[in-house]
Amino acid sequence: MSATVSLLVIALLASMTAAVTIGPVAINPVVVWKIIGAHVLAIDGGDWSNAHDNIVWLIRLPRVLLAGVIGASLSVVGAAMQATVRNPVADPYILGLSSGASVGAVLVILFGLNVFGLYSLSIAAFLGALGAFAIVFLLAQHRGRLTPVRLILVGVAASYVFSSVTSFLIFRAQESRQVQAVLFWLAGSVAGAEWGFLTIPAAVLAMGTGFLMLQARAMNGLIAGEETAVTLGINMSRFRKQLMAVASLLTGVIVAVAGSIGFVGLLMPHAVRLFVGSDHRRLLPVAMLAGAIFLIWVDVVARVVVQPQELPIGVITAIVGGPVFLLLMRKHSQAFGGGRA
Amino acid sequence: MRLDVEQVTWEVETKRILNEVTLNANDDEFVGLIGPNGSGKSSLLRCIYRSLRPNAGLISIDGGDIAQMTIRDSARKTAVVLQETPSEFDFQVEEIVFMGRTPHKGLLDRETDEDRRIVAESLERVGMTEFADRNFWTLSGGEKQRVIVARALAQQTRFLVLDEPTNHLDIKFQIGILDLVKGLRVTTLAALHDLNLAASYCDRIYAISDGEIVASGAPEEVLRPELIRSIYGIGAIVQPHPKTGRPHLLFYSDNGH
Repeated sequence: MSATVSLLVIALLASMTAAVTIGPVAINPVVVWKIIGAHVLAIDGGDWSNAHDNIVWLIRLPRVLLAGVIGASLSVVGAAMQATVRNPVADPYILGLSSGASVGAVLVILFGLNVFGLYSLSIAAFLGALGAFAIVFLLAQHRGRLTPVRLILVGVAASYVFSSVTSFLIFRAQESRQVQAVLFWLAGSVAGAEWGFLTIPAAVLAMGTGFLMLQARAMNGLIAGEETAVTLGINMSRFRKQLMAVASLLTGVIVAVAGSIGFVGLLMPHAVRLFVGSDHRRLLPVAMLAGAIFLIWVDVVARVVVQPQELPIGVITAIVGGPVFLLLMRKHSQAFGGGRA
Repeated sequence: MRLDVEQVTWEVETKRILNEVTLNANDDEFVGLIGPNGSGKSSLLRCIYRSLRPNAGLISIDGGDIAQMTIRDSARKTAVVLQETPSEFDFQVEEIVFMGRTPHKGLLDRETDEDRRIVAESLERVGMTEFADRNFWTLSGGEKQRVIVARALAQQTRFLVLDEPTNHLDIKFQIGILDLVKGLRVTTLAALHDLNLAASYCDRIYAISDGEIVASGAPEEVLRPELIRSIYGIGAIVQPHPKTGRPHLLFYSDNGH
């Protein structure tokens, strides 16, 4: 098993390197690593140009890393949400967090509420996600317990309400340039990534995945059955709240930094299950790495296909990922209810 | 392991599902719980395995009040076989049985050789060793149920709760599962629909109707025509089983069928 993880780590490093070399200006992979090495070890200069240095260190590397972090987070949080609501069609946005975030982000874009300077958009989106979380968390409880059906229904209802508010705001917008900006944000993107945008998502990813890995056994019990989980010693009412809080924190940060990128969080966990099964102790690390690799490549496509323009990454995830996933599913025909019923 | 249920009451809104139920199971005893649909059998079991919290009353295992224990501690004392649990997510048979080790593992613990031995042994006892790598979804109903029993065995408790463990199984597996459980020599509380199976396997039987225990005792004391008539509303003739000598029930409808 650790062989799979090692292989994926190598694939991830290779993908990152390749992704940094690709762009309007092609850069030799060896030079890429020299530049990274020089910056990490704080060595000045070398046999590469200043322009290359800037492209690698300031533009492409943070973007590739952000794509990786976001892809990994989406994939992990998708698996966590699917366990939380015990439903295979759950994705990171099922609790309405992205819709809540949209309201915050759209307010900033349309009305220029730049209270927090450069980070206004992200902070507003995060606050929106937090608000959605609070509403869903409170309304979905029944006698102090969260049940999957209530969570999904309240989440979906909240989503619709927030989406309506967003649509209303867009409808009332004065300038088409603003509308374009909003639509681009809504589709999700890792464009404009800077080192400053990386720290928090990376830290939250590390903590969130760490927590989920520790609770992997309990997550297995949970998806095996609500009552089964109790009989295996899992304090369900507490555990589901913890899961929901962690998944929501991860989702909130993802949406704040990259908008709502669809598909990855829904289908990456399923794709990984086809290969390693449902045991979260294997599923989570593999999903994390696979999600990172997937989004890094999708982002490469996003910035290369219609140069010099860029496509929102969220537009491509599904176009690329959907058919691949369907092919996988057909190959593993026994999965997803294909067995002897 | 000894189970004591004292005056347990459970209500939903204002409806009383369990009304001051008192029962017990002694060390290594196989105790059956019978009663019509909706009589409160499953609710009582849920209170015992802590899926429900009773409104009043006391449930204790070996003298310890389960309400004072963590869920995890309870799970180390009580293993449960529910009716087949559907899941949208597929697991391998072995992974399901490993779940039985959950209450014994800390957050950072890995599977030990001891765990692997216990899991292998549990699979062997239910005759599912060759199925270890199979996906749960691909199994038949009887095979699935045996895997769930194996998971309960892997939990290594001295008390076993079974909720209709033989539902949907053909007669061979019904008897197979109950033979297996009976052979474990652990305290067992089982809700059973099939009264003849209850008569064959239980040391004692409690009959529950409308949330109250209406009879208890050895199978021949409980399984009488009058009781069957009063709680199920049908006729029954009770004869000794020609082979085992246990009570055997023949049912008839008052319409002559």
